[in-house]
Amino acid sequence: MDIIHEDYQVRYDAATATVICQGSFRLRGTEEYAPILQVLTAAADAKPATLTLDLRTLQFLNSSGINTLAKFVLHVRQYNATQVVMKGSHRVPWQEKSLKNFQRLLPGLQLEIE
Amino acid sequence: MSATQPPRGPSRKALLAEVQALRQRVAALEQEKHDLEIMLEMATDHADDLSEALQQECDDLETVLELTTDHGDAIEADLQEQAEALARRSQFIRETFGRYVSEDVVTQLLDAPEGLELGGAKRKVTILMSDLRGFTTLAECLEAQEVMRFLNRYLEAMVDVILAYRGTIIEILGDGLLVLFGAPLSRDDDAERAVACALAMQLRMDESNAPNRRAGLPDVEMGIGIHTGEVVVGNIGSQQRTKYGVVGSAVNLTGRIESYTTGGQILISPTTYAETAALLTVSHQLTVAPQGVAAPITLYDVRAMEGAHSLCLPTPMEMLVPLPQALDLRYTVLEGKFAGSTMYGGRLVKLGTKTAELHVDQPVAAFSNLKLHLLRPSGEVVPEDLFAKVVETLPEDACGVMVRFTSIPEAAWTFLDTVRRL
Repeated sequence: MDIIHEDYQVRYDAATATVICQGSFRLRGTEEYAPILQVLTAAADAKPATLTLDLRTLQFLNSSGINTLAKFVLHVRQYNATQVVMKGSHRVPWQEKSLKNFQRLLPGLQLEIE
Repeated sequence: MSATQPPRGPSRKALLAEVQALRQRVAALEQEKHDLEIMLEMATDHADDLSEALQQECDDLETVLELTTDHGDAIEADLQEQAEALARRSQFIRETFGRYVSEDVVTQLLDAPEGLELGGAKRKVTILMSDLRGFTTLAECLEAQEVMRFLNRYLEAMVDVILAYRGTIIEILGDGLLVLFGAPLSRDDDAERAVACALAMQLRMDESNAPNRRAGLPDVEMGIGIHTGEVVVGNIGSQQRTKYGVVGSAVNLTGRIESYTTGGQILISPTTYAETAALLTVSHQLTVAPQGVAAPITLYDVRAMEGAHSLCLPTPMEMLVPLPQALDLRYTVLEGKFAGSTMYGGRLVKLGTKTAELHVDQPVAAFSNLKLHLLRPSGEVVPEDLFAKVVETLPEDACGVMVRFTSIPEAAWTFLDTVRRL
């Protein structure tokens, strides 16, 4: 189930078990983020060996958005068999610092910042 | 005493049974105690598990909170940087344009910074060039401070008018102005505003001249040329010094058109005329063949405009009076800023305040600039040079020309005044 919005897109590619987030996440609160969290948890519930979250073109993420990603990380943590890979970019200033913090919730999380 | 006396109290058998029952009771109690101990242990273990899970949840929440705060800090730092970059850009735009465009143009530029190509862009603009006539002569009569006072008074009035009509002042060179309509922002009515601005500038000249007139000094007049065409605009210069500038043949042509004007006149090119014709009152048309232009072009002498900008120049009260006796004169034709070497003779036959009809010995082309010396009836030369532009060659007489004086020195002014009163 993909989400295509004027400001942002969330696409799930089942073949590669990759969720691609693009644009700017500026939604308000848990309620507005629920559809995005649903795409993320559904991808995790398929229990792939590796689940990739591609955030390289996610230009902006507000605080409710980082909370949503944290909820996803906590959700996927229950599946010990799934390796989570997060892709980020140096070109997006917030990613380097914020993405690294997810390893505190899931020490096995693999970060690829290009 | 008999040994067979029966025993008193409970029988041995009954006692044994009681002991047995007590033993069983103890065993049951021990079992119960054991069970309770296990239950207690289980409950404790369970509580430990629960507490551990709660602790884990608590730790996670703390981590998420820190994560969110850190993320907020990262975004704030990024936003701060962006805000600073934007502030630097605003400052740059204000410094580049602030002095020469109106405040609302600066605001528009700031609102749409991406839309603005400072690097250079080809675009259609309407170019206005103005220059003062008779200023050099006036400057010679005045103290340096007076000259500056006049120039500043004049420029202040002109800049005021130009900004009101949303023109962009590209250059102030002495008494000349180069103004664009259509850059950095283009509007549909660029040509219309340019012509209206020129009329308004001419109307404001009176104000600049008023203090000089009170001091008995001659008026300074302004000529304005306007042309619409494609130019390249952008920041031109080296790293040390850049300015918003304009280049293109359209700029050169505007300069030429301006050079055909006499004081108080506004001449516009066919391209500007095409966009404004319906609104204009044109007193006459003239055909010129400027250097560097393939075919001759028609220029339009604008006197008034209607529509959104309703402006009208006062009709010049110019009456040519035939002189009872023609005045002898000598003249040379100016080439650029230099006087030609050959002096010719001629006669001044009709005289107005600023115009005159001459009969010249050698035919001269329209728009030639002449340097004249008047001769008194005694044959003595009136001191100082008089300058005039040929505004018309008279068709009925190959040597008859209409001239408009562009600079009248004091001595000549006094002399002509005497002649007029005769």
